[in-house]
Amino acid sequence: MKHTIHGLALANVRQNRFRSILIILSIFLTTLLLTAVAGFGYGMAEHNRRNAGNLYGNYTAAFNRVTEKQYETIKLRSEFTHVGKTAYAAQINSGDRNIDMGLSFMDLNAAENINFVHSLQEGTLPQKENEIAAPAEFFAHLGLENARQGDRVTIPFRIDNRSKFEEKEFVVSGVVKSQKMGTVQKAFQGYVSQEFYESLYPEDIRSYGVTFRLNESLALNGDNCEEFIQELGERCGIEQNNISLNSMYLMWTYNPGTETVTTCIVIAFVVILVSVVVIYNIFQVGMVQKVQEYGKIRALGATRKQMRKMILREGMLLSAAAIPLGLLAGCGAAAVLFHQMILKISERITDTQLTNVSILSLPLLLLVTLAVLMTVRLALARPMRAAAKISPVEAIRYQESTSRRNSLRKGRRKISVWSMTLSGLAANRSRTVITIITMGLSCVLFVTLANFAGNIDNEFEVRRSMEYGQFSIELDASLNDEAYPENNLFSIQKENPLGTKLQEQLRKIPGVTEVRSRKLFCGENLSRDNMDEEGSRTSICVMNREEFERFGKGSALGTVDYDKVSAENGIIYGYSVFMEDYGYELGQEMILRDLTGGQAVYQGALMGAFGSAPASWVITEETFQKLGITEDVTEKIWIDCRKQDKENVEAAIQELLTGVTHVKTDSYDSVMTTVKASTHIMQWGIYIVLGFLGVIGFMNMANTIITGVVTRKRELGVLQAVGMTNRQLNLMLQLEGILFSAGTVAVSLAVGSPMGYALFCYAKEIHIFGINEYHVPWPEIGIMILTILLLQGTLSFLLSRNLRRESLVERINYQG
Amino acid sequence: METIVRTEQLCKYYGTGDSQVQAVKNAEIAIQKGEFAAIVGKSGSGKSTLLHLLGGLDVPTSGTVWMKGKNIFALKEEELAVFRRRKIGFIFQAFNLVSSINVWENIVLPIGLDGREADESFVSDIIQTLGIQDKIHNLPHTLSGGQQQRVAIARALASKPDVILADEPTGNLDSRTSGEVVGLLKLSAQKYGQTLVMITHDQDIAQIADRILVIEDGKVVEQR
Repeated sequence: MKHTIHGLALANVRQNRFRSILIILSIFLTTLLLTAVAGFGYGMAEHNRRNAGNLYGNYTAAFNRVTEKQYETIKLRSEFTHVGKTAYAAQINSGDRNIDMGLSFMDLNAAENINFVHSLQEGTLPQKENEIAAPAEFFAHLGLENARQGDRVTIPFRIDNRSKFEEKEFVVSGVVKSQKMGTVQKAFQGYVSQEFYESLYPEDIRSYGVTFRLNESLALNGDNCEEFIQELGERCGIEQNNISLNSMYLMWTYNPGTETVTTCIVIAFVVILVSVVVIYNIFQVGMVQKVQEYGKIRALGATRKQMRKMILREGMLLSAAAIPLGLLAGCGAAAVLFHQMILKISERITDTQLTNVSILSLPLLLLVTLAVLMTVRLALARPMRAAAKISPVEAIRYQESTSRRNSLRKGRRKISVWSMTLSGLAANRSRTVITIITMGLSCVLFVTLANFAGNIDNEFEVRRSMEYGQFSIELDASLNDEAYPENNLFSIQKENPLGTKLQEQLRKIPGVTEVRSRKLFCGENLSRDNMDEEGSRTSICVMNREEFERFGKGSALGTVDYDKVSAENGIIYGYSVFMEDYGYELGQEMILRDLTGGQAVYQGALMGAFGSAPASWVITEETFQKLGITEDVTEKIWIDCRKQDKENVEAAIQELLTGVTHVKTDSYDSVMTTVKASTHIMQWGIYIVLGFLGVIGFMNMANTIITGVVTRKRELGVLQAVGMTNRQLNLMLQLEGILFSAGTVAVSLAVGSPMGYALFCYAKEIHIFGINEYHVPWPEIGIMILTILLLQGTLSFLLSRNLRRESLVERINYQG
Repeated sequence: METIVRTEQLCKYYGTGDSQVQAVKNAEIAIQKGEFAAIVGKSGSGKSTLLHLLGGLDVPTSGTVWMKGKNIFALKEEELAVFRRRKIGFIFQAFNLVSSINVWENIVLPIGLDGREADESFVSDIIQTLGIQDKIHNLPHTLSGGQQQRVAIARALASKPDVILADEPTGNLDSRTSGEVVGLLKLSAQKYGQTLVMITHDQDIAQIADRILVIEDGKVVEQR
């Protein structure tokens, strides 16, 4: 009997070739996705665990602003090991305002903690007072090309804004590998010896960053580690806000992979859910074809148990064909993803040689196999029950397409292709609804994730720093440079290089379509003394209505209505999050004096705060006019041009700026390149998963349409016999498909949009890069609708053509 | 009398070589307008194939079928479908009603597919004649075999075709119902001036036809 059941199951698999192929494909894709997710997650967890130190530094936490005395205490305590110290030493006059250069000191332990020892390309860290180690680019900017150990270089440096630059000759003790990030950011560090650092700073004003690991005998875990470090810091006299945990190192060392595992489980759960629904529906829809046959098998003596077994066997046979292929393809996909997404990023952030990890794990593959088998088993639960319930008599009487409950139909006086289509769907109401819902559900995920991925807005992220146009020119100024007062904003703006003359010249560049500017000036805060490091000096930005409204959109506090603020001569604070920290309150009276002309004094109420603004304070254009400042306080200019003229315009701007000091430029394209590098990985990951889910969902749709045609082959033949033309048949099948598609889209939008919006809000709350303003992801939804229509249209067309291959007589005589 | 259906050297062969089956061999028949012709023959003799060829449902291996002076196989596929729904009414042994629509909709289906409005009084008259006036809102599966076949007859008559082709319309019915259905079919065909070609293996039914064509091994061997 065992052989008989197996034989019947095999025969069923062969007979329903279409359905079998669709189920195999669905199981294959499910296995592939699960393997890829599991392999990728496992690889990532392993990679991070083994490379935590290499990637994020070999230290548990860092204490900042540590005094010499506190450092000594830390060194003496047994809880700490590998205590290393670093310190900022001086700033360097690079001669190029676009390039930031500085000098730091770090001892050997610190170098080991942050993997800096691996960064030395040549030589050693500086030991003697006049020694220095730095990347070749650092030396190149100071005029020493191709620096080698023993070369000499003169460096103009100063310890703070209050000091004058002084020059000193250093000997190159080592050359550091080029920092991959540094090249993009145009910031370079040179490293000096402890002796040199100590010569600059007397003991009482030395301030270190201290990195350390914790003694392994402490037996800490992920839960108590953070608390322990905080307590330890307190005991050493370190303020809480000067303690920063190396959270990635902590996570991977004490709590390896919890988040990755959770994420993978959530994705796997979603994949399983979709697959269960799809495989179930493919089986269930196919059942209508088989009811009579199952009835006959029952009549011939098969027990209910055997019927259930037969269906299960059918599913398992299909799984046996699909799972191995899925595992293989999944491992391949995981390897490619891992290589593209993890290794490439890791290589970008570290110079350290990384430990290789395998993404393959036999127990994991077994787990995936088990999960897929469980998925199939779950999907088959109802079809199995249904097959077991079929009674021989019922099966022989069974008429597929009509609901038993309805015996009457009001109908229409006139029948047309359209009404035939509707009647067909209405007669199979439950099948129609279930199919639309299951198809809709796979698209719900698409819409949900598209709401997230589609709202990762590169343009927005770029426009945060490059607000308009293609190029920007900005004053490169300090607020409070006491040693070089000519570097201060108010000094530069007295003879503003960004004045109307330059703006006119920019407008005349061929291809330039628009030149915009923003006023931002330096003021003195008279409301209170010494607010921060910059003393009482502060920046005030002037905004027009458009800018004001744009900045008012995110995380604003109080009143940010342009007209109201303008009418009441109010002022807006630039950063809502820090308002409380700096002790400001809404309604407070503010007095600010303009430092450019030195005469104008602003006085008004603090009416609100923006989430993030270009300056500490913002006033409206009208309020600015009332202040009567006569100097040109333009601080930034944006230039827009036709795309085809970009290169020429850029060259013309550079030419105009030759010899102009205190300005720095940027371009839309360079900002976009940086932003894209950060977002494309996340977006692609999501779209790849979406693509797979879409394909699995399509299996469902294909099955429904195919089964719908196959089970009605005879009826469609009769329709043609009584005069339905091929065109009408095509039209009917297309209309059915379109109605399915419309239902699917409706379900996916109705359920997916709110879910997507919720996901978006969550993503925004946790500050995921590029997520700011919600917009309905129409392009993604459009692509989804077009894809559904295209696939459905092609399928209906192919089916209708395939149907016509058989003669009308064959179709009329077809016995389902 | 006018010849409404005529075949010339009509052949239909399946397969090739030794396994070739000659379902219809050089059939030469002519059926007059308004005639009731019965095609009789044993199972597998080629009756159904001949009827399918007459109705343009199947394509002959060679030969032609002329209907109302038109070579139906010279028509394009789409034209043939339109020709079929206007000139021919089909009745099948298995009724072949469309399960998702009610009786009335099944009856007016060929007219609707032709984009025309049904002549409601004419259709109602047919329904009255066939005695299914109480069932017009019923779905097909709620009707008995006899009732379903009446609906099929009504569907065949409703578009006022010139020829009705019936393939063993009583094959699935008991003898009493069979008699009734054939009676109604003949009556209706006469009433509406239609030509009726019917396959049957029931000699009693064949006897009430105006003419009997006997088919044996694909050849029309006897015409009475």
